[in-house]
Amino acid sequence: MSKADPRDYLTRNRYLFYIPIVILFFIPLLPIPIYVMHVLVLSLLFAYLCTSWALISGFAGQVSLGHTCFYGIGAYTTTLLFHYYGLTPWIGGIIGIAFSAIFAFILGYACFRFKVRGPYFTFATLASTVILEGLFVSQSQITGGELGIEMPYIGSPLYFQFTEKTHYYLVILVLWLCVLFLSRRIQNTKFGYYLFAIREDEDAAEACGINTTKYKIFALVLSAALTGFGGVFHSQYYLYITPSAVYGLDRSFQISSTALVGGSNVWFGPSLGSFLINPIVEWTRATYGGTIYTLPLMIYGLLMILIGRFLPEGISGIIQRLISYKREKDTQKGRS
Amino acid sequence: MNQILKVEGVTKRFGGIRALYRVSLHVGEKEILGLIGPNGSGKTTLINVITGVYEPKEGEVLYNGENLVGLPPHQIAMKGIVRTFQLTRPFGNLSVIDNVIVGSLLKSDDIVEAREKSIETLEMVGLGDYVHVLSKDLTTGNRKRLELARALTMEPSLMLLDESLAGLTLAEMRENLTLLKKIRSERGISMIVVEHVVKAVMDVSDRIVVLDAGEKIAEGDPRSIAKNEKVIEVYLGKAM
Repeated sequence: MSKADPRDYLTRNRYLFYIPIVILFFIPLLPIPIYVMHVLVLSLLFAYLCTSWALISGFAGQVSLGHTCFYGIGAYTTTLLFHYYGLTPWIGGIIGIAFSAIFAFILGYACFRFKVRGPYFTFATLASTVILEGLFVSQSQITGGELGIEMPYIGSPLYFQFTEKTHYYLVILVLWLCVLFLSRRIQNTKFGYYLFAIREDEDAAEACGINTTKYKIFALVLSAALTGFGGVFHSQYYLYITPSAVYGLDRSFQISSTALVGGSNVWFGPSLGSFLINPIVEWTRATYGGTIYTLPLMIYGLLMILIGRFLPEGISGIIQRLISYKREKDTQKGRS
Repeated sequence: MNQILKVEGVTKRFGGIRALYRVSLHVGEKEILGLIGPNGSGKTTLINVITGVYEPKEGEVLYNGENLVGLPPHQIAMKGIVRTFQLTRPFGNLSVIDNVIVGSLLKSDDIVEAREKSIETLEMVGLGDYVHVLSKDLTTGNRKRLELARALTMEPSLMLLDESLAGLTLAEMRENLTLLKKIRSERGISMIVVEHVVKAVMDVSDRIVVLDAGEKIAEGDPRSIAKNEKVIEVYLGKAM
């Protein structure tokens, strides 16, 4: 029997991950149409959001349908501070992240401390987004209501604003890589193991000496803070936000369904989902958006059904199965 | 003998049902205490009270002199009281080794170290060939072994084994009993062994406590319990 780390297959074949990453960094050098660039930015943004989402909903198994709360808080804090006080989004963004984290802590404490789990936690998060969206619509003298609020355009990196789409692309690429490696790191630490244990069986996890409440709250706060920074990026990329754009339920569903298609139990899963779904959805929106208005939604639905039926662990499930098959073979080789 | 666990006058009700009524018992150092009784006699409830899953209405649970009542389960586990579940509860989608690593991380923050310790323990309980298998794919017997391995890596000083023999074949049962004795002699762990199979408990226990309908009806060494009329009545019915 091998005493080696069962993940060593991945470690030995690092290039499988590094080559695509290097290619992604060179993409801006190619003459790529602006629209394609936009799709790439969107895919990366969703890859970032879904990976963050998976920390609490995939790793710890506490499915959140309210991650737009944190997204919206990040986006609105930055925008309002800039709009009214001229504060640079670099600082406003940090404050936004802090607010997202605080909100997550309150929500997490209220839920997990009093044993609100499973579907009830999902409902609580869902309700939070609806409430926050309503709140920001109703406070129209500050937030601009449903019409939204604009970010003054300065076009200087000092204000997290760039003249080229490629610059935004590079920013979100770096952000995504950070969260991807963070997620991978977590998966191989005590924290990660504890989250998996909580996902599988909370009572058994408690019996193993795991403070499930503490770990769940921590995972939620971390996930929320990262998502909040996604919101900051959103506000700078579009320079215009409305409550329905940042708090909308459709975005919440989009994050969770994309992550589930990719597989939310493993660090690279959500990103796979995003790189698969976003191009398809954007392409159909561009091609059939005028004629078959709901086609992108239909594609989501269809994919969800197919994945749920044939690949309940998402696309990454196939890859994991291949890896464990390789591992078995290696182990057998080691024995003979 | 030093008493490491002392349960005093514990009463627990579920609605109108009296699950435990003024139950007292104690476990000494390195002692294996057998806890038997018919279905619904409160054995598992007592385990749940000791491990903090339920809070008793009355009574105290003293561990090395410290009252555990009101502490959450994870803190009690950290103090060194570890349980297994009657219906095994492995972390199904994790491999066997990862299940045990979760347990061993209680005493160590280092994954590599935890992994090595887990493999050793898995070899010891006889799961050495199943390290990378998903735990939901294990047979009942192996699941019970996994529960035991997970509990052992937490380096407890008191283990509560809730029917760790139920559903096993005779051969497996014998193996497990030998294992328990080995664990006790090698690691000096005290145990409460909750069991349905009276014969098995008689073999392994130093002392036996019998529960019926939530009350303690007998206590003593295995031989005297086997002859105890109340116990025979509970298990076999009244003599005609």
